[in-house]
Amino acid sequence: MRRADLSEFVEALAGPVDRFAREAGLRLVLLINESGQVLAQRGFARALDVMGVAALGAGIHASSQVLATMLGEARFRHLHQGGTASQVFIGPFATPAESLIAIGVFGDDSSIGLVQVFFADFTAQVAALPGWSTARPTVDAAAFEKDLQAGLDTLFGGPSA
Amino acid sequence: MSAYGVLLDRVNRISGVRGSMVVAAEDGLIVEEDLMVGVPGPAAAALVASLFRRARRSVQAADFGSAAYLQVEGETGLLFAAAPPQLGDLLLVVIAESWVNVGMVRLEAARVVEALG
Repeated sequence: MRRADLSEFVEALAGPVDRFAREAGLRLVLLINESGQVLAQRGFARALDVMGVAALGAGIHASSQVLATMLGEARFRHLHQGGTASQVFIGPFATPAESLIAIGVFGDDSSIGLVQVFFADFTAQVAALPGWSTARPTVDAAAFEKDLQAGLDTLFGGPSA
Repeated sequence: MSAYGVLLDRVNRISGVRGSMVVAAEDGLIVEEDLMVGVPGPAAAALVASLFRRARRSVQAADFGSAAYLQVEGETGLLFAAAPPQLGDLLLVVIAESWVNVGMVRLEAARVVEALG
């Protein structure tokens, strides 16, 4: 994604992300692309936390993608880790523009079943958004770092911590 | 057919029942299902399990023990969930027409669950 058009497309994601968080009972939501670029978030207070979760989420997704290939799967539908107080859902999905990864954190007031149900609605909403419903050119290597920073700047209103 | 399959098969024989499922209460995921075509099983399972968890908390908060049944009536249909102790953390969820004989559903479910236990 090019820096010049980032804010235009990121703003459109806020509605679906908010709805997904509210309906599925998610405490935290992060939407990134496969490069780890942050596109939308809900529930995070600090850019530093977002950067960490985005990097870890992209890494986990990449690892599970390799595992899926080894097992003869095209890809896993989602990844779920259950804890005593918090659970993590990592759901990759494709839009015509690019592949995205949703990372959600929820507690005992929700369930993996609920998150799965509303994740399906969420992916359909995002794929239909202007800017996400058509293919876009990919970034070159030189613009990669700048784009990562641009995502955080857009979400937190300035240079990140 | 699994033991849960037998349970669902017997419940589904009642006139007006459109399908039934055994659902994990905490996860909202389907363990076994026998539904008519077009019944949105995963969504119904997740939402009914969510409702049941909240109902269970409410009953416990009121110091009424554990919740046993949940029934939600719509204009054209009915959702029914039961949490018999024999099923542990599993729920029996029944999706039915609004005119179904709920007493029959509960009775049949209780009979089969007792046989399972």
